[in-house]
Parts: sequence; C-alpha cells; structure tokens
Amino acid sequence: MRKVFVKSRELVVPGTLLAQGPFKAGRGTFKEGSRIYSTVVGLVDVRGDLVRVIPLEGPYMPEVGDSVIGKVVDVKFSGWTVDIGAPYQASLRVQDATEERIDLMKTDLRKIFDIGDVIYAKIKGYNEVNQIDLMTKGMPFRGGPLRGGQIVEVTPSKVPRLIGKGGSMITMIKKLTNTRIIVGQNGWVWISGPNDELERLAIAAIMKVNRESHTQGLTDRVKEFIMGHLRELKERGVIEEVPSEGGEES
Amino acid sequence: MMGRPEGLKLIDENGRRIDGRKKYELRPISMEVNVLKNADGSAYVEWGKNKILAAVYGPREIHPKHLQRPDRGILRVRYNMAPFSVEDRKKPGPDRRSVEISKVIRGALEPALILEMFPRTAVDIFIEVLQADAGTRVAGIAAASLALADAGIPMRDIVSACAAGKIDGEIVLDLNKDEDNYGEADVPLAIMPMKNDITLLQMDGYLTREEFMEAVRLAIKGAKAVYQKQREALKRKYLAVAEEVAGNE
Repeated sequence: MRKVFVKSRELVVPGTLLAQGPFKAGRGTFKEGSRIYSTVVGLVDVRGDLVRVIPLEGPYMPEVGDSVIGKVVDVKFSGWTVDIGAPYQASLRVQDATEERIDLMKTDLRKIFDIGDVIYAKIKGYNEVNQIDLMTKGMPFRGGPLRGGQIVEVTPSKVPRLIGKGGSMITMIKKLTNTRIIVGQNGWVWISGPNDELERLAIAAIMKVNRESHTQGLTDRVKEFIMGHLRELKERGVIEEVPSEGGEES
Repeated sequence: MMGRPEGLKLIDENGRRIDGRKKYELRPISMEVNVLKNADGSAYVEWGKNKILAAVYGPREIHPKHLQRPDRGILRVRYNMAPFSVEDRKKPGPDRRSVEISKVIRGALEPALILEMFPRTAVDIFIEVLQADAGTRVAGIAAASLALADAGIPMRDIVSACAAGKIDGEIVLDLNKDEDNYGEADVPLAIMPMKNDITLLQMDGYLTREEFMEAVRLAIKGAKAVYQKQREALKRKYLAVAEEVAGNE
C-alpha cells in the first residue's frame, strides 16, 4: 500500500508524516516502520519511490567534489586550516595547494595563503572521522587568494536556485551588475564589482534569491529588481548605461 | 499556602480565574522565528506575560576535545533569567534553579534531535527569559524547539510543552504567577506530539494519583494546542514571503 500525505513542493515542518508504504527515505526525512517523516523545515519532493525534503535552512554538509569558498583560519607547519562553514574545519595540505614543489624549510606558507585569505577550493576527501581535505591545485584563479570583494552567505540548499538552470540566474546577475561572482557549494558567495553600488546591488539580488527561493517566477522578479535599481543608479550618474534587458551575449 | 493574601480567590463564583480565563484555557501565545541575525536559528515567544528569546548555534566543533563524542553530537542548553525578568531583581548568573532547568530542558529536547548525524560536534541552545510569569520552562522548551527547527537541525519532531496545575482544589491548565505561588500544585510537561512521547514531566506540590493523571492529560492537550502554534510560526516565515511576492504581481 502506497500513500503520500503531502503535495509536491509543500512546505513541511519536522515530524510531518509524509508517506507510508514501500518508499525510500531520502535526505531530510527518516523512516519508522513503513512511515516516512520529515526532519527539517523544507519543501517536499517525491520522485518515483524516493521521498525527500529540500531544507530551507541548515548547515552545510560537505561532499567530495564540491567547490567551496573558504577562509584561512590558521597556518600550520605543512598546511592550512580553513573554515568552510561546515560543522567541521577543513584542512589544506601543501602538496594539494599548488603544482610546484615546495620546500617547507625555505618557504613561508603565509606567502601562499595567509590567515584571513579567501580561497576557492575543491573538497578532495571527507571521511568517517569527519576530516575534510581540500585541494586548490587545478582550481580556477589557482584557488585564490581572492583579493578584494565581499563574502555573503546563503543557505547551502539554495545554491542550485541561485545558480539557476544552466547558470541562468547567476549569469544574469553577473551581466546586469557587471560584477565577478563565485558561488561556493557551501553557500558562501564571493562578489567583486567595479564599484560599491554595483557590488551592493549584486548582494541585494543574491539575498533576494536566498529569501524567496521557495517561490515561483523568481528569475524574472530578480531581473526586474536589478533593472529598477540600475535605472536609479544611472539617474544618479553612478553608471553610464543600463545594460540591455535581454541580457544577451555582449 | 504561605503568604497568601487574605481572601484571595483563584477561581471566582463564575468559574473564572484571576486573569479572566476559564479552567482549561491557555494564556495568549505568540511566536516568531528567525529574530536574531547572528544565531543559526532563533525564536521569540510571548506566552501570557512570559517573554522568552531562544538562540541556537551549531552544530559546531567543540573544544576541549574530551567533551566530543565520537558517535554523536552533544546538546548544551543554558537557561538564564535576566535580572529584570522578575519583580525583585534576580542576582545575575546561573543558580541552583536555572542549572536544574537547563538540565531538564536538555533532557526534553535531546530525544527529538538526530545528533548522530553530527559526530564530535555540539549544538548550543541559549534560552533567555526576559520577563517571567510562571511556566518559563515550558515556554523555553517551545521557543528552543522552534529555534532548533529554524536552524535546520534534523529533528524527529517538534517538542512542544505546557503545564497544568491545581488551584483552589481544581485542576486547571497553564498556571500564571499568582496561581503558581498560591496554588496547590504545578505539573510542567513536554511532549513529542507525533507519537505522544513525554520528554519532560515534573511535579511541584501535592496531587492525588487521579488528580495527577488528570493534570497530565490536560497538559498534553495544552501542549498539542501549543504545537499547532509552533507549526504555524515556522511556516509563517516562508508563507509571508510567498504572499508578499504574490501580492506584488
């Protein structure tokens, strides 16, 4: 007997009975007997026999292969300790940091990454004892450090929404605001723009996506939002021209 | 009871209590989540004259290392009353009472949390009582449980709580300060409503076995009403945004 008690994309809270019968309990759910309950506040997603809840809040859980943005919190003898917003701190070893061989006796690791530097890294390993290993070798921008710019945090589960289908959302924000944006899968977003106003506008747009991620027609609304502010900025003489509405290749 | 004002009647001839409530009526309750910017999750609850703020941080790595549990995360709770929360200034800092309440609240919330998902970490809950008017531990549990859900920490259920008690020989729901001070007994209780699991049950005062069972049944009913409010409060945060968006179009 299969029974689903909720609609797809319905907002649920922890402890809500979602389904009964031969279902698989996906993320954000737990199974007791043949019943599946939600464990988080989120949106229900039923696909075939898999029931899961996409959380609207929650900590970042690392997965091997994720590209994340992190902040160096400590420089050790042969590596770095990095905060990536997960429950555990991550570590980056010298041999995973750069292509060239580094003589630990002769090099000051602070010259590569110093405390407070923002890096763009890939998760190389995440094991049973919750040790997170990072790798900056082979990453875009050589993994950083990313100079200037700002970091904002969005809920990790909303990152796909921020990027959009085929990158549509983030490309649109980047083009219209003329900023450089790097989205880490841990929900940390690095933004650097030609001036404060545009940078702030891009951040406002990103936070709007974060806040309204569970609603429909978001891309159009965000575009509207940015265009409105761009026109205002033009009037104030901050920018010379409002980019074309279509966001075509330029 | 001691120091009871002359002629004070907790229940009048019409069956109304001193604040005008009926026997089985809760005080007005309002809840809001996500009230603190820097906490991972937070909630603010007004329960009659109680005003309570709860904040959740974590899961995060803890030091010293010997506190870590290799198989699960740990839960730490701090219940604290502000010096201005009661009529006579309360000496700040933890005392015997607040240490005990912190401990029982931890016990009330722990069964609901799936901490096995976060080994070697801690989840910290801070419950600040800004204004107290009896029943702060149950209001604190309700607030903390909302803050946990708001932080996105996986839970089996939302923990809900309520108290019942005995005043002037009658079992009533949700005592206020005067009823607590001059009444005969107070029974705070916390449940996980999905399966009716009781996670906290205390009693202060004297009740017969029958009265006790009646108080427990009544408190469970009250807690279920609180549970509905908690669900609403959690959903409201997102539904408000959805409505606002729909309204603009």
